[in-house]
Amino acid sequence: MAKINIKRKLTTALELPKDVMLGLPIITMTGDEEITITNHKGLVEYSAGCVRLSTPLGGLKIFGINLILKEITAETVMIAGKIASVSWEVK
Amino acid sequence: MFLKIWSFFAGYVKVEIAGFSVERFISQAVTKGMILWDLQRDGGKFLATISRKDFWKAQNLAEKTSTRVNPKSFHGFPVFLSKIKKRPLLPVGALVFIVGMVLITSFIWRIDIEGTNRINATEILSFLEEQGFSVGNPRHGVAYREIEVLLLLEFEDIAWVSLSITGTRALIRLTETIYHPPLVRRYDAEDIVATKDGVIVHMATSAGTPLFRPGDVVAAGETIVSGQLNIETAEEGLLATQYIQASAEVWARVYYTMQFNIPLTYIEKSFTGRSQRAYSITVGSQRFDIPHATHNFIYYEVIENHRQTSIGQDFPLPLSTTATTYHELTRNLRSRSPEFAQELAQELAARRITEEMGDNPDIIDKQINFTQNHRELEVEVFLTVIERIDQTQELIPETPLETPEEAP
Repeated sequence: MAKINIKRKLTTALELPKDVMLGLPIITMTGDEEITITNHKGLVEYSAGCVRLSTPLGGLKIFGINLILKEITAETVMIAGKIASVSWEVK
Repeated sequence: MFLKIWSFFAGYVKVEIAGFSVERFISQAVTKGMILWDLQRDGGKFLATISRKDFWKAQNLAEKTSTRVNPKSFHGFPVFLSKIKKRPLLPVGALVFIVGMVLITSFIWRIDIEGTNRINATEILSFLEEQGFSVGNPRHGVAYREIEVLLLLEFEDIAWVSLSITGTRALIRLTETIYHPPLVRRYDAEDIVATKDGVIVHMATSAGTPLFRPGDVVAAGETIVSGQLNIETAEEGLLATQYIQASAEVWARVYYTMQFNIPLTYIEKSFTGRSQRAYSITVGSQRFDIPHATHNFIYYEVIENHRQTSIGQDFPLPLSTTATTYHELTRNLRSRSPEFAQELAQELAARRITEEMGDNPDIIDKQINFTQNHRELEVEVFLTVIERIDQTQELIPETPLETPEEAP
């Protein structure tokens, strides 16, 4: 934990990109139609109403209607559909 | 977009993934560098798209994760190629089509001319044809400058000309010169002569010797004001003769007569509403009729609608279609009442006066006499018009003109 805190402080002090230095996920939403998550760690659950992803910060839940995985690679997941909510699972 | 283009050329497979832990399979697949897209749930199964290369890798992974990856359909360029291999005439046809299009679009199929007003565009086209530039010529290797110069030399009314070729269409744009009235040649000595027979009503002489006075009758060609000036005194008689340019405005009453006939019967044409249409195709200069439509009308009017096929605006092709419509007519013999014929004669007379004398002739008297026989109305129009009748004419002196000696 102490090691992470030092890394975080150093990243903040030097204004380095946190997604690169700390591996934090970047979430980009286009309206309520599309969401792109970069730096994910894998797909945990997928149905038309819910997508659960594993990320370095923990689980990420996306709820919606007619959700489709438009593209999935080792780094990026692009989800399309009618997105209702995005929430983090408390560790 | 890039993924779609790349996947088309590399080929892709639409698969159905089923099994105990499909999510695990997907996570492991993407970790191993495979790309999946358009993934959606269909009941207990998953439908996804995967590249052709990754499809075989996915089969090995599916065994390890207890899932099944079943191909639904193969797509992309490799599939297209394999289809072509089974139909060898298809690429041959495509090649023939491409070569044909390249050949057909390497000629000029239309020449348009813009900017003509006084000059007749048909004259320009015929001249260019004589010079070897016409529809059907190759569009490459055209001597643009040479053609422009030829046009400038041939047509004096062209001030500027430009030839451009876009696609299979040649466009000649030109600007005409400003109209200049013809030059009037002036002589050293001139008379004023009458252009028409008439009775002089008014004349204003500013130079020369008047030979007529208002009220005199003058015939066409007679000298009204002479350019010969006789300088004489009562005591000494004729002292000298000078020849000058006579100048005068002469107005005279001129009489006109017009004669024409108005038939009391005429044929009235009216459309019956029935029509027949025929089509034809013209390839180059060869016309092919499509012989399905014929008509049996006795009297008819023909309207042709000609349309040249074109790829876009700049690539007209030597292929055109013509729709010919035959509209049936009936011809009925009608008669005019003498009163109506007289009204018509008045209108016709007014029109002919405008045609012959311009818009505002100074008509001081007009009489129309009608003589009717059983077939037609003979019309005789007598007009009295006041108009200018003066015109200059060279005066040839009796003794040669002396050239004034220059002062030493």
